Amino acid sequence: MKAADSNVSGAVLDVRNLRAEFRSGLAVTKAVRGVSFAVRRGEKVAIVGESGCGKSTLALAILGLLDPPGRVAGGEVWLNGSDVSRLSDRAWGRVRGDEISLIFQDPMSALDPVKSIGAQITDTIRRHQPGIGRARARRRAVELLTEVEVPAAARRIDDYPHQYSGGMRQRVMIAIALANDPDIVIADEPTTALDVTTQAQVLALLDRLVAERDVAVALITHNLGVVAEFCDRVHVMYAGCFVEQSAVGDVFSHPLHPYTEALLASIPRPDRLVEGRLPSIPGFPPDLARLPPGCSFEPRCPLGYGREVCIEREPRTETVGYGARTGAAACHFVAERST
Amino acid sequence: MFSLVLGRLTASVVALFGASVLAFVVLRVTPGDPARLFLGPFATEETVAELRRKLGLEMPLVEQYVNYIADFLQGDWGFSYTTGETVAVQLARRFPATIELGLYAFILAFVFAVGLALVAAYRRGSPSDGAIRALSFFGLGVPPFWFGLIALVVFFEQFGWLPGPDGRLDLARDPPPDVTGLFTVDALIAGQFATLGDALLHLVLPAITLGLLPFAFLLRLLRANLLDVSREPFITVARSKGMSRWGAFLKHALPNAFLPTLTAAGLLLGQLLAGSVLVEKVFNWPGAGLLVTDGILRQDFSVVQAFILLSAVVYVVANLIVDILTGVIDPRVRQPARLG
Repeated sequence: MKAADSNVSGAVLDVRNLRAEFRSGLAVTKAVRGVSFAVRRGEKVAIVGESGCGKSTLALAILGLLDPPGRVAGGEVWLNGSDVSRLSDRAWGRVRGDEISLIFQDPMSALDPVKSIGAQITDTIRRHQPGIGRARARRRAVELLTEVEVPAAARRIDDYPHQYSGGMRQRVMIAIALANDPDIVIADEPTTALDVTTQAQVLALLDRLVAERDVAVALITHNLGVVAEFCDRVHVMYAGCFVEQSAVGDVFSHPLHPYTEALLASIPRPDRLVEGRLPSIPGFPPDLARLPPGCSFEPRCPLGYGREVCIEREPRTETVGYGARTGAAACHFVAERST
Repeated sequence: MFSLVLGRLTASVVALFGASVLAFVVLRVTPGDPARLFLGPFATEETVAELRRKLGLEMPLVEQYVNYIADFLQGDWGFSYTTGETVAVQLARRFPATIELGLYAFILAFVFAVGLALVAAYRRGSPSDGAIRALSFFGLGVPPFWFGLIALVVFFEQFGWLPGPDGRLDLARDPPPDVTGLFTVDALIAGQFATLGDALLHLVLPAITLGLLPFAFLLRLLRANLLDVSREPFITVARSKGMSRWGAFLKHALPNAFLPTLTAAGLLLGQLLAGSVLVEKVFNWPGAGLLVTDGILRQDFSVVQAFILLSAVVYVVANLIVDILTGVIDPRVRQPARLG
């Protein structure tokens, strides 16, 4: 729990130029292509993008949970001042669930169906607090369940996942993730599988619990509404890269990257429906195994630049600032657009 | 849990009723007259008709069935037409040998199937996975009696490492004092370790031969189930708590992958009983299977009939145990959902 030797001061998690890929035969799918970001203690950062942009692979790569044929192809992951990206499975075992934990997207399948709720909470407590003892771990699990607002926690701790509703299971997931007071939680689409009312409740609960504990959160989502409510900073991901990094307010008022703008425009709004069609970004994300040489968003770019530089050269991420607005975007014309 | 057991028990009784009807009908539709068979070709028509009346073969079929079941439940399973002994006595003498062989075959099959399936699924796509899969294909494809003969030629005739087809013990050795009828257990109880070793050596080839098919089947099934389960999100979640990949495999993937395998294991017991008929013939193993092979050859049908019904009982009981075990492992079977 020390924060030294890190290039972003006070960063709990510092991801540097992380790359992840999947190999099948000769084809290499580059799912994460050089992603860098840092999260400070207590900060809530969003990683936003559409399905297939590499968000979930990024989450697994950070946690060292990418199984073959996937692998981390380069970059570093600094956690509390030490590089964890090259740890052995055994050494990772002391870090995962203790300093960093994961909230998974689908609560229906994220809990083992044949183990009781209590057993699934206490096993992570006892793993990282070896001296705690069975009875105390169980008391702690009841406390955690109470904290995540599972009614009648003391009675329901011996129930099994199939006896819990989706929202209740996601609360259990949160309890598991927070059981050992981690420094950062990676939440991969934590509310996507839930209905809207439950989504709001679970999100409010997560918000309160991380604030109380001063836990940092990296929230991975495609839901911009969730981002607006929950996060401080936003990273917009497209085709395995971050294309924009901004404060949450700025993203919604002044998006820097044309992809962000298109993403915002595709939020359905009843007052703006044109001939009853839902707005969408034309085209599809590029095949990550065969990326174009230039800007990966160029074929779909709604501003239709069609300029040579977009087709030929991959844009670098540039930091821009005007007025109170600062941010970074990977677009050749970000400076032009921001004036 | 109680209602689960009750429900399965009811189903078992229904299954046994079906099996008993089948065993009964099979005997009635097979060509040949039991009375004629028993009395031989030189008996007069009158004597045969007299015996048919005595055996109750002139009664309506339903009445015959009721009598047959009533007799069976009282332990009167008829008598052998060739030796004159009652079937119950014959089977009681032979069944322990079959049970001992089946037990060891099943344990071997089960232990190796679980162990190798874990290794194969954990190292998916590696050379060891390939070798294990090849082994399971071999086990599924090879006929047990052929495998048994080849094993005898190699390990007994060629190298002399293992005993030949001379039953459960060396001819010169006396069986241990009878307690359970299982020689290995009885020898252990009596402290006769030489007999124990001899009995175990005699078990090696027959047990491997009989266990090969169930082994290959379980291995293939469990490997596939393990691969399916290991892709489930809860495996990733378990690892995100700090569990190693192997730990998550053992503690979370195995119990879940085990459920469908357990059901198949129950069904395989039937295969084991059927397989024992041939394997016992190959190794001259003095079990119930050999009794049945001889019974079929001598048209001694009451033995066959009792064996069918007894097999059905063993099969149904084994599956009852499997259903209860499934309930023990799987809370979804044990307790109905209570959402809230």
